[in-house]
Amino acid sequence: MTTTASASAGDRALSRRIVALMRWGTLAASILLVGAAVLTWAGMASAASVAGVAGSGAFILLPLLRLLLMLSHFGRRTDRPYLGITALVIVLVLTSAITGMLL
Amino acid sequence: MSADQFLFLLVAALAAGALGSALGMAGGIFVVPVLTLFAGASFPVAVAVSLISVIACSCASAPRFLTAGLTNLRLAVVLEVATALGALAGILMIGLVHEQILYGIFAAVLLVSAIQMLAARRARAPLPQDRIGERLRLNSSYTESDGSAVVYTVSRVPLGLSFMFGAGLLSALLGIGSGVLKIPAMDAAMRLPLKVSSATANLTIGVTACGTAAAALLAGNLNLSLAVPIVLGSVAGSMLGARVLVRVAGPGLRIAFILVLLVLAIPMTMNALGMQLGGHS
Repeated sequence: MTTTASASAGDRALSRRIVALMRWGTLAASILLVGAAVLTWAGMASAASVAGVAGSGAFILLPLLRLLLMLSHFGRRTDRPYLGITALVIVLVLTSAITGMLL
Repeated sequence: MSADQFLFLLVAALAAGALGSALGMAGGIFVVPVLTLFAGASFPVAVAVSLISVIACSCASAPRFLTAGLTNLRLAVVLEVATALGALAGILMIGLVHEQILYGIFAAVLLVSAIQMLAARRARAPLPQDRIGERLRLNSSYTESDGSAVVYTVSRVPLGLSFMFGAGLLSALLGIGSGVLKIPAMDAAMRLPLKVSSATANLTIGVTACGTAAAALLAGNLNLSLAVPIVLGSVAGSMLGARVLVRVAGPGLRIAFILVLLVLAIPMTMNALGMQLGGHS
């Protein structure tokens, strides 16, 4: 097994939280998409569409939730440079989403 | 969509995800040609579907790399400033760049990726410590499976950020994870160990793609009948890829990958030249 020797205990805890988020998030989003496929074959088009949007949306939200986890981690540790950097990334992602939607 | 079409897309995405993840990529580079050439999707539709699939691959692979301690989280978030900014610039360019030019850029990306694959990635001599890397505490280490510690420094951060801006731009325009720029950015420019480079690049893919993908979903431009089989196939493929395919295929995998890239570059180039191949829905 490999471990990040120099990472602080706090960073390792953050890493574990991100692992849990990605594992369970990927599972939940995949289940929703399998549900969408099953509902499509069952002829329930509108329910399939809802499940498909929810599954795709869940995948899109996972990286954003990861950034929010990091923001809260750096906030608790009053790590100002990384708090600022993470907040900036979140703002850029949200700006991209809004801009892309409006264009 | 018929069951046959669903199965075809599922298997194609599974192969794309498996091949991509076995070689440290997200598979979007295969998904867009499959959708435009064989599923009758227009370029923007293929890009939107591919973006969701690369996010899914990134999320599915992330736990493996994080658990192994290979992902440098601080470096990832620093690089994401540049990739997110690049993606925003890419979004602003969507609609301004003609579809034929996008096909041309895509064909070029396929060819450059094939050349990169041919040259094979190699570890390079580390550079002296970078002041920015030191100030942002980016230098780190990991422990190999034999117990030896590998300490590494992060060099030339501004150069890496420039490459990452380009990677974000390409991701928004072409619907790919942009390994074609992330690999030189992290291996050659920043001189990271290959394992750290792959793991950290993988994590940044999700954030790079999520703004553009969210815009497509919110604007109702995501084709769900294509997205469901492609995303499910990609996730399954990315989880299988690293575990099974490398052991089974060995060095032949690299040759197969190069051949697929070159074969896909031909019709994409023809589309760039105005010879319309594939349908447009």
